[in-house]
Amino acid sequence: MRKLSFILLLILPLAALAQSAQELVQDAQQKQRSGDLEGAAAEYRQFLQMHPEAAAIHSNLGAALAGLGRFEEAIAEYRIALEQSPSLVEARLNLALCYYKMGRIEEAAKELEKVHTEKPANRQALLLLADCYMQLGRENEVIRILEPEAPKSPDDPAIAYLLGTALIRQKRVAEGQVLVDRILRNGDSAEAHLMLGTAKMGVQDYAGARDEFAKAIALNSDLPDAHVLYANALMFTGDSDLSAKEFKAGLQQDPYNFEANLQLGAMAKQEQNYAQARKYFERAGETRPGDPGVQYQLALLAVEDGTLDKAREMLEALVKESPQFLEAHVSLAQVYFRLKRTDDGKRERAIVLRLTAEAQARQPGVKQNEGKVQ
Amino acid sequence: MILVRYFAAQLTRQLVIIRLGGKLVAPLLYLAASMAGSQGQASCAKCHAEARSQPSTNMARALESVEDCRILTDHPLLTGSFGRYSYRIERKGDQSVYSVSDGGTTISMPVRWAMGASSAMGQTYILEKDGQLYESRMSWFRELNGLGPTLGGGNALPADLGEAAGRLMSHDDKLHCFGCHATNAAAGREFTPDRMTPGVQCEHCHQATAAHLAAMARNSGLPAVPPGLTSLQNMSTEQVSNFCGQCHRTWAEIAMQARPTIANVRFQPYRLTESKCYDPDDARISCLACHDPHTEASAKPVDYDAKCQACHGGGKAEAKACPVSKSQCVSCHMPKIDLPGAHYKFSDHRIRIVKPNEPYPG
Repeated sequence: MRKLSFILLLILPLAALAQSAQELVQDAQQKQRSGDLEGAAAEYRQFLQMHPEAAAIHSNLGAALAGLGRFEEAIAEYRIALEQSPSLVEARLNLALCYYKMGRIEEAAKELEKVHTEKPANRQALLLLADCYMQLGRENEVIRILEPEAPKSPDDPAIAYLLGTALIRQKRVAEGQVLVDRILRNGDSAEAHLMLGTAKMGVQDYAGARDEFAKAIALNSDLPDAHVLYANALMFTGDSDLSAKEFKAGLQQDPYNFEANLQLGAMAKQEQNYAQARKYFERAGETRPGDPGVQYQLALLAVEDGTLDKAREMLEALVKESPQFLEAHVSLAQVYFRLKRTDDGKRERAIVLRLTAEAQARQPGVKQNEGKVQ
Repeated sequence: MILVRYFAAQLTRQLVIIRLGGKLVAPLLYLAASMAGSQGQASCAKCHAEARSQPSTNMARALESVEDCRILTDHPLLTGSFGRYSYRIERKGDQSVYSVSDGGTTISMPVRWAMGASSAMGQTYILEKDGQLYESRMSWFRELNGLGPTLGGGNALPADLGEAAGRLMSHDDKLHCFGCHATNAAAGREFTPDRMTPGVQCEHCHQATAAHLAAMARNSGLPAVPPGLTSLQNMSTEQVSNFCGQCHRTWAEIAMQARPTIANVRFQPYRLTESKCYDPDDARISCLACHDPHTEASAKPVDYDAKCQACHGGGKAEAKACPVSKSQCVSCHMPKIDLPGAHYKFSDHRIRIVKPNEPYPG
């Protein structure tokens, strides 16, 4: 995704610009290509002071900032670019990618819909949009946009996978199965193992998933997200040490991978390496500002630091924002007890009981007694 | 990347819960004590009477070596079956061999450890094969006086012979299981079986005992109570509950799992905390109010009456007196719950007025 969000072709009326400005942009682009994103961003800003109306440069600046994990700033730049030039599809695609990466899937989908309408042949936008729909549980939308594309790209594993999965979920199992089988027929490919692994994770066959991901990585260690998925499976099968190694490999591929940062932070916290944990959580928080999971972990770090009032404030804010966040209520109860606020602690425990009972009641067949009182 | 984002996003949410709910590390158990366990126990017993009674408790023998395991010596041949698989645990000299057969093929593994005291409700065996440790699929249960499927091993029949034999222990499993059933089983994230002493010994709960012993050596000149020496005496009820809960499971750990099933009856600190009468600041409802970890817990209901009456006998204004009886309170208010598959009736530590035919209050 980094690669995709990296460079926008700059088509500017350069001839109209002063030579120094032209050189500035060229230099910034060169820096962006070579990975000096801070340098590129600084030069884009310098240029924009002279030419704030340059929509494409705002977009390029956004791409540089996104590469640095400064997603909110990047979004602001993309927004400016799109206000100035609503038809700048590349800026809109990059904006969508930012939202996608931050887990703001609804917003990503809205932008991708516009890109898809504008450029229906853009495969990246199509697949990302389909994936957003899938994440939002809108399988019918996935089918609507991918069904016409499948016959045109019979060998495209991504289309086959997304469409096949959507069809199966919509009870069109036979049609879906044909597409999924198509990927598996390709034999011992990294993608096929990755797909099998994700499918096994979906049915909680963690050992099976672990083995599939290992095979996928053995065949292609650069496969995007494979290390993170492998690490997730390893966590479920209880191999935390190898899991940590794989999450770190995932961060080598993408330093702003949300899952890897969050889980490595949780591991570091478990190891009582709180400074390292904070670094990981803060980076995860940069990717998804305000994410309740990250906020919760930071609150737990405050508990570990002994700054209980700070932890209490963070947890109170969390449960106010997310009243169904069970873990936050559990931890808040503990913090209240440690602060000798017994009544508040009891109230939180009562909330935990209620939430648990409600969750239990939603599960058919388990709300009644499984055993008997003797 | 696109293929997997969906699952990854879902997993993130699940993983946060599991990681927070799961107890990967019990920091207090990871003692880097330099002294050997058994020597420490004997040294402690010179001054502390508790250290003389504690070795006879089930907790002190929560892990038994295969040589010392009385169940295995008293039962030179144990047999059982599960689905189409048949099992044998056969004594050979001072060792035992665990075998599973599907009628055609047989897998045999030496038993390395027995998890659970021979005098307790049951034992699960730790097997070794190719340098890996496995949790046996079949355990010994006192109620059966024989083998039955290991609790938590899943209700489904094993898919193959390997699965029928046992479950491969991950690194985390070793840290968890041996971390609670033995002493000095881990140093940080490192599993240290070479330094491990079976069972819960003094230094399992009392950190810095090595420094304390060094200080008590004649003319050492060191402080008798070194920094970090753990004493439960000054802990609040809530702190004690969390301390014991490191192995017996805390309220928070179970509450975060949000699965109020009957299986939780095993987790006493969690259940006690759910009691209406639980007060985090009242020592009369602490784990230690009823249980001295240095002696075996009494199975006689009458032995706990005084503990209940400390509040319900007029000691606490809001604690009502029982209109039915003043003796054997726990037999009604802490009912025995038959946990399916455990072959044991656990005292439910969620103290309450039990209503006839009520569902199990998760």
